[in-house]
Amino acid sequence: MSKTTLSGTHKTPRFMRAFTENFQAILFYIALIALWEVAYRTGMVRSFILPGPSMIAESMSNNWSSLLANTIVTGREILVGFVIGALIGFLMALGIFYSKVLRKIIYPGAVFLQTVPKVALAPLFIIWFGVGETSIVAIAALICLFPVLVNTVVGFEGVDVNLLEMMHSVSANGWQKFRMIYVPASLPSIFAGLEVGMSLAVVGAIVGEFVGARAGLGYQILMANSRLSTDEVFAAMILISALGMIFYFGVRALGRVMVGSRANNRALLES
Amino acid sequence: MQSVPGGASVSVKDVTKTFLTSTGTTFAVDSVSFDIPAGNFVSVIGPSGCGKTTVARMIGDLLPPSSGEILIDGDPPGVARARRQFGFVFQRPTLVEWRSVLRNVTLPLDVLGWGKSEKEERGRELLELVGLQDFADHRPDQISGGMQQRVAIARALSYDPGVLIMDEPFGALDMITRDRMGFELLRIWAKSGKTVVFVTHSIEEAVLLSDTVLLMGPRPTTVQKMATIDLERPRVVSHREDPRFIAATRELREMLEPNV
Repeated sequence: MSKTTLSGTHKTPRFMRAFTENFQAILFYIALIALWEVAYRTGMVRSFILPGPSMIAESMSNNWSSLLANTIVTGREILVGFVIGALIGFLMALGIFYSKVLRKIIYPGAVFLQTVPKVALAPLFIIWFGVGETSIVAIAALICLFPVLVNTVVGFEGVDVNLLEMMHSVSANGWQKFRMIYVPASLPSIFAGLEVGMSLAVVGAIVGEFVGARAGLGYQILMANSRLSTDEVFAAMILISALGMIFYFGVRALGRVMVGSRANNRALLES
Repeated sequence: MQSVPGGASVSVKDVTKTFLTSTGTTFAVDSVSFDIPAGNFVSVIGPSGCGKTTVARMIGDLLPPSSGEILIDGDPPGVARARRQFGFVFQRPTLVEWRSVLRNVTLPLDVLGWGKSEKEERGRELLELVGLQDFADHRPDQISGGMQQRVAIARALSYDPGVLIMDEPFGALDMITRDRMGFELLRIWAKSGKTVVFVTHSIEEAVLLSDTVLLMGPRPTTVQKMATIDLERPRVVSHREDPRFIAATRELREMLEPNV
């Protein structure tokens, strides 16, 4: 009975395909939200414990100006903290890789810092840098520094010895090896570190705002929580998640552009 | 292009290499001496772990000898390296995946600061030499293992070194490709006139390709035999059935086997 036709080859639009492929997941979440709304409307759950989707949406539009202002503050903190942390992490990795003395000095400190939960350092940072953006940026930077450092060192150390010997045979200097071999060879690994670092920077910024801030989405959550405005807490949470996703996928997209279509890129994306 | 094309002579005199280990000093290479005339194809064979690679690395200034003297066209390895006398080909192609085939070939020329058009011209010339002119813009992972190794050879020849040092270059290839690569290498060698130091553990490969086969003993390595291969050039597949080929491989095998 089976008959091959050409109809299978005609193109379905991309979003349609995405929809049909993720059909079950989409259905599940629509049902969940609907159920949630029903539970809220029928008063099964009290609204200050779990506000319904419509109430959250309403809160978001009512508090839009403050939410937007706080999103900008938190976004700025995450971004600045990430850039500073990634830069310091990269430079420390270079120190560890190129200098035996620096390796001995930096590693124990870095391991110590990594084993201390950064949340525990947040109150200290508030004392040192004061309540506000500087402290938050410092916490975000500190928390995303380590994965960048480790992945950069791993990338540099994984460079093929034969490749370096080939460079040695033409008497390449350190800068040429760095530029032509080490950095491009390590990019997939560095970007893996940057992706982890970026998601941690978001955590760092919110934790920082919980401990000591006068603005930002974390601060808004804290304030709304104390007023039992659970709807506003949810609204802020949605924006944090949106921020995190935009930054994370931004780093990832940058990685794809810079790493290009190489073989290990595939492995990286699959991981 | 820069230097005069052709090979450089290699002279190894009483060279010893010792390594410090937890149990004391170990001799990896013990008083090795031989001479390779410019433009010769010499294979180095021996049991695995015998230090034949160590000898090749010392010639190429990747390892300093503990004692003895190595001269390349009269210069010690360090000076010879500064004069770009060594081209390396390793067991794996070690191409960089972020550059095209052409730009892999010209990577050493980037280090040497060649101009853009000179690099391009030289790169294409070499790709033609190794028969890959149609793959210039491919990525290394888009071509086969044998082709990748040919790119590595082109890269090693890019700055026209006097000596091509090849450390088991076909060891990672399958038998059929390996045979083909051997003849391909001979063709490239005949055209370029380089001196080739070819480390391998295949006796047949060594005899079929070389002017001279250096047989190294087990650690500490000494030269057990320098066999001149009396087969005319160009070498062809049917040389494998030649009585001289069979006699040479048998003799080398008998010397090698008791040590295994």
